[in-house]
Amino acid sequence: MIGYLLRRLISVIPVLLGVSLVAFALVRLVPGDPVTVLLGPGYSPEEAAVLRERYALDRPLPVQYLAWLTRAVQGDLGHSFFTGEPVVKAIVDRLPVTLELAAIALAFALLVGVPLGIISAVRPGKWLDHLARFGGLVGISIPGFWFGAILILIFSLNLGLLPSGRFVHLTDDPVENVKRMLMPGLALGTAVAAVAMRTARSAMLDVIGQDYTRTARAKGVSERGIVFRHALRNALVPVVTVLGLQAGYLLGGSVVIEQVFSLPGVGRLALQAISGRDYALLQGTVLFAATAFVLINLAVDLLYARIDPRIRDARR
Amino acid sequence: MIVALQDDGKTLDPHKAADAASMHLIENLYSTLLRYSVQYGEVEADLAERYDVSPDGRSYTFRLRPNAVFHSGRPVTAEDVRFSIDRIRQLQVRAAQFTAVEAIETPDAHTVVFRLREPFAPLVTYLAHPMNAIVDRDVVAANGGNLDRADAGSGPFALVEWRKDQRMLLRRNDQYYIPGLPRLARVAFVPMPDATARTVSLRTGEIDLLLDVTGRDEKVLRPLQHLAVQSVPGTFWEYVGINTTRKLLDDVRVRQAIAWAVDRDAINRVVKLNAATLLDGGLIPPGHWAHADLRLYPRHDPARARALLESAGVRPGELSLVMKVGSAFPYQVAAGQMVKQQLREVGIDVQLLSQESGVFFEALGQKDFDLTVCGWVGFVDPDEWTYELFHSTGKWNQQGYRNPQVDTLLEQGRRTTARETRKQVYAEAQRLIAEDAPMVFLYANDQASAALPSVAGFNAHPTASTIFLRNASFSNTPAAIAAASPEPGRAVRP
Repeated sequence: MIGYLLRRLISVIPVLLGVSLVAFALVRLVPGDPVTVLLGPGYSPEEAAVLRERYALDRPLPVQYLAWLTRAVQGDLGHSFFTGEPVVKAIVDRLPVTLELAAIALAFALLVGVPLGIISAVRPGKWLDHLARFGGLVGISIPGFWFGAILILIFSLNLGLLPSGRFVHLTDDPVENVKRMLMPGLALGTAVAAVAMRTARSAMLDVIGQDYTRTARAKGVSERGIVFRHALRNALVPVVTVLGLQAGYLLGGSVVIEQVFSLPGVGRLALQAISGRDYALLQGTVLFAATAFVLINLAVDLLYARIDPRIRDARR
Repeated sequence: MIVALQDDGKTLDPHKAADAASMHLIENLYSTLLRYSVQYGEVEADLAERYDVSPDGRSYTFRLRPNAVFHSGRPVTAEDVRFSIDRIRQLQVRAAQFTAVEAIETPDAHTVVFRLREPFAPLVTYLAHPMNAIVDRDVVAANGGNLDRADAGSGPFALVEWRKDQRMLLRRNDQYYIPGLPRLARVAFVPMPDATARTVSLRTGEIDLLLDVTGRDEKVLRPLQHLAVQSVPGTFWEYVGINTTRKLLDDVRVRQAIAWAVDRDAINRVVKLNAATLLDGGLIPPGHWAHADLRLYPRHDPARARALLESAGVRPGELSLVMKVGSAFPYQVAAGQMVKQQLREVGIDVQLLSQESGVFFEALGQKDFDLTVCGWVGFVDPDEWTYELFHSTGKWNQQGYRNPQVDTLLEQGRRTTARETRKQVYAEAQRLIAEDAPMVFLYANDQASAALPSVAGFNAHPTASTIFLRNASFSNTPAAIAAASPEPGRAVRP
């Protein structure tokens, strides 16, 4: 197991190197740089040249990349061009907000999406199944930013139940924090819950049709026992896979949701880095997102082994 | 008082800040020698209680208030003024505003003398720019020269904390040089990027004051009885830029044809929801002393445009132009689409190219465009409105405009301190520019803010400046409103 983990961790290194190179190259392939953003409408070629020299943006790209990479492997991702803040600190400061948002979204998906999918599979063709499938379709179809705005209009403006617009830190006021994170979590989690529901439903239907389920039923195992002891565990493998892949969606979706709900998270940081062409900050956030994605998928792989012993045995 | 902004600032360093959001955060921390008055275009006393100009216009002597102290408790001295202006010149961002300054002398702790190479009338307006702040040189030194996250000011409010993207908290400066001001104990600036979240937060009382209210927000907020919306013609103005160095566009008749073909009123109605003031003559908006009521293009006249094109020998369909717009400015993209349609009616084909802002501004700087829809914001002195944009050597003369008569007028406007002469000079310059039409001026956007009715004493200013927060309070009784306005500062025009 430990050998497997080590092998997987080592294989992450070339992936991250590739990501860093792509992130570095892509942001520079787009015309415009921090200097054009800094000068804005007041851009003049002469002033731009002076500023580019001052910020070492006139050096050849391979030299800039190697300089950045050398510092990056030592844990120094550089400083934000505009705020002067160390990139690592900027990400670490905002990480708790994004993690909390993703956790609420994921919890919503697990607590609502998966049970709905199971119920829907166990009672196919019944009204609850139709309702769940319709809800799943709607959940996947509506964009998060629009749903977020609708939630604000309903729960903040019309009902006055939940506050919006300002962020309160968990450590400052936990109750207020949760009240303010519910709507963003719901807006982000709806699509994930819908995907979880549909995957759980189709996986369960598949398992329920298998020979061993029929055998269990023939042996007189209760319907509840079939669902929870036999079917669910087998159906969980595809559900976990899909939820692992949805981590990417959660990271991407947080960019939009944090903007709508004014949350100071990593997604909003990345968006500011893009619009400001803040090279170091953008490379840092992309590298962070890629690392997070790779590690989540590693965790999902390890989770398989827990759920399904056959996968564990195959690895030996 | 909780104040909502669209974006969070990037830096707290006044001498580095170039974006509106940073300026909002910074301007209440600092004082300047002079400051903008509520009356747009005028300045009044701030750290300098009075100033004198020598008869040759080359020497400005400022007398500092004896009771002004920095937030550190140290008195503001002439040496701090000299240090601050030197720092502005080193940091480049607004260095161009002080190129005329030859030397700054400090005969005593409370007297500063600016010696100029040549007379330069806009100096007093530039000294009132909230970002040309006087900084505490000891605090600058203590922070290694970096004020990105520090407070080196003597303004009405002092920094408590700045949590980026979350809030900036200020407290009242109890040692402020005007006793009794500011009235508020604490002010928090909260960035809210989403328009719905902003307006809902104001409607639910989550915030007290909303700055930068857009035309669309205004339509939602104005009918609500429990909110107070203030709106003035602002400094954010927009135009159709014409590259005068391109073939056919170098002909003044072709440019005038474009000016007559553009229907400003229709664009204002559709794109701005009528929340802008049309610029049908010069570019300095009504309300400013240098506004010239020219009405050169009082209405949209396609027949006249066609006649002008014909006299220039341009056949319908012969002129095919590329119009560049910034995709980050959707209202300019929309205006560009309307201009394209309007020019097609007079036989000019336009291809609209929407570009990412970095690319877009670089293209403008390199004069790599035929037409553009773009805008500028924050000008106060008529010199700011005109010199760099329309002088043939102007740094931002992206249209490649060249008229020796205009050059002479703009130089004269800089050198003359007499208000009446300047007024005439700029009226004439604006007339010539509008006739030559290197730009088709569209409109000046209204600058609006919205507040809960309990908020008193806050004035919306064309520059979007929040310096009037020092007079704001929560007691919206008639007495409080009377006490808060007019401004306690005195006008100090010599």
